[in-house]
Amino acid sequence: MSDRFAAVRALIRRELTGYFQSPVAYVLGVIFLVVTGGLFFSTFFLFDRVELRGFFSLLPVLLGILIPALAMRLIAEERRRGTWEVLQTLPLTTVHIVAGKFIALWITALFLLAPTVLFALSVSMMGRLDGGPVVGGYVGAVLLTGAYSAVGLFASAIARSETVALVVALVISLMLVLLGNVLILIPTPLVPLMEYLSVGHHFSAFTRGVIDSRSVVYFASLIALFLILTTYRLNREQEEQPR
Amino acid sequence: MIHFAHVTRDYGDLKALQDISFSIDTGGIVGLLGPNGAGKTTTMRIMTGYLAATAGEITFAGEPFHPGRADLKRHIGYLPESAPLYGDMLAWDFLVWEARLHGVDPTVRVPEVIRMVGLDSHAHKPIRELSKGYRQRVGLAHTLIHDPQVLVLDEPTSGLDPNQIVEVRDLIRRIAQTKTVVLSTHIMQEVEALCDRVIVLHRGEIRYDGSIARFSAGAAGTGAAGTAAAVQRVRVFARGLSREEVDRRLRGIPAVEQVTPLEVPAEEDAHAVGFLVTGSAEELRQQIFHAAAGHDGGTPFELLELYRERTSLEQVFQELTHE
Repeated sequence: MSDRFAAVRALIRRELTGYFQSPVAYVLGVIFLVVTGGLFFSTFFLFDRVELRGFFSLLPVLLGILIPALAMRLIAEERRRGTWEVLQTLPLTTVHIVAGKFIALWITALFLLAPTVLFALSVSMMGRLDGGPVVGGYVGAVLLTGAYSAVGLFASAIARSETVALVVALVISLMLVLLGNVLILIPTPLVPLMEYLSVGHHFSAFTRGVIDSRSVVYFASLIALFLILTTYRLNREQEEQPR
Repeated sequence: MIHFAHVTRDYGDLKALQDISFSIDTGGIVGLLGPNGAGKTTTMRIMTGYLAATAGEITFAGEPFHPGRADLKRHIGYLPESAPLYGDMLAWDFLVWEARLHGVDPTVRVPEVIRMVGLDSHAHKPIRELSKGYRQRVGLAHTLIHDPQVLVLDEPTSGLDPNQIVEVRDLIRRIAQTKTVVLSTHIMQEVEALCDRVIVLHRGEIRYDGSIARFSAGAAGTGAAGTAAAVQRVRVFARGLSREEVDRRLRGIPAVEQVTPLEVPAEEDAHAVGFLVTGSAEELRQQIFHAAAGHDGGTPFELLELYRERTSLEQVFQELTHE
């Protein structure tokens, strides 16, 4: 068992090295920070309130773009380079590979999210910042990042190319966001269901400083669902893989 | 050690492997031969747990083997065609990473393996900057890092220059002194130079499974067990009887399968007759000699020439894999 953990740790280390040895993670991180900061502070002074709600409201969409861009290479690139065949024949099960890649992606995404704490520090210098919504918002952001990472990994597993993986992950992630914004167009009986499925609905609860167990379960379920789908897909591929 | 029993693999409507069975025991080098699309890579991918079989049973050391058996995969080292490796990593780092994945102490094993494959001077270079020959060495080091019992190498010399081919073959020979090596190749000379046993695949079926010696002797026809009987082709020039009579006597020999008339060279006796005799018995020439001596009860005739044709490996391969 400890051997298996060692193998997953080695896999995570390799993925993290892959991200941070190339400029991709840094470039995406800087773009994310600049865009988020620009959009947040452009309206911050208009409302004249010492809070981060405006910043957190941007995260479902911006992380929904950042994480697919980070995730697209995970499996699709390995397939293109042929290293996927090597990886699959190492003494690892599909579950180990999925776990290793998912954890590495999640860590990387959180690493890119971490500098946004500077926004909280900046805002707190302008007045009294209520800590509850900030902590809640970041707990929500961690879960949201995990959910998008699972979606991104799934997209990379089903796609034959990195570009297709990016598009699939963007569509799924942004659909999860949009569900909450089109409730007015949906037949009334379906509204509660659509609202429950919407990422924004659950994330906004966190940004009010409420850590609702139903929202935690929602994000945990999204992560589990997409990791199970990824594992299932990769296992099926070994049985049915086209030449 | 590895046993395939009635293994079939489909890719949609395409049958890549059709009910193939064979066993690979410990030690030696087994060559998988076959034209493109014969099923060599599919066989290797199933053998290494990359793909599952559609039907049939695969066992490794007596235990059922499939892609989920991570515990058994640790006894196999696999190098896919053209050695796809993480080009952005240093060769050393790549091997350390692999050692950790296998739960092996990298501080001991990595230097050992690097020495074994002759990679010392290139270990600290990014893999993508290495020549094909050195990349192949990194690939071989990757297959050896966890000291597996079986090495599966898909076209290990493909794309290398003649010097690199010789070096990699030497390396494979050295590795095979302590391990079982299964390799696929298109190159007949490679089979002859390296392999103890050959399995010829064609359209997903086994056309020959046997020693390289018998393969070199010529093979045709597939037996019940998927093994081909060695076929001999013997050139006979005789005189003293009519062409029809010699033809009839040769056809009367039990081991003879086919008798084809040959043109007699101008420098031969004007009364000589020539035939190409094909048969499956080891003692075909002795039987022809006995017939010529009249031991079959017929009139003796003179043998001017009795010559066993050596079939090239390419000819044998063509015979086994023709449409």
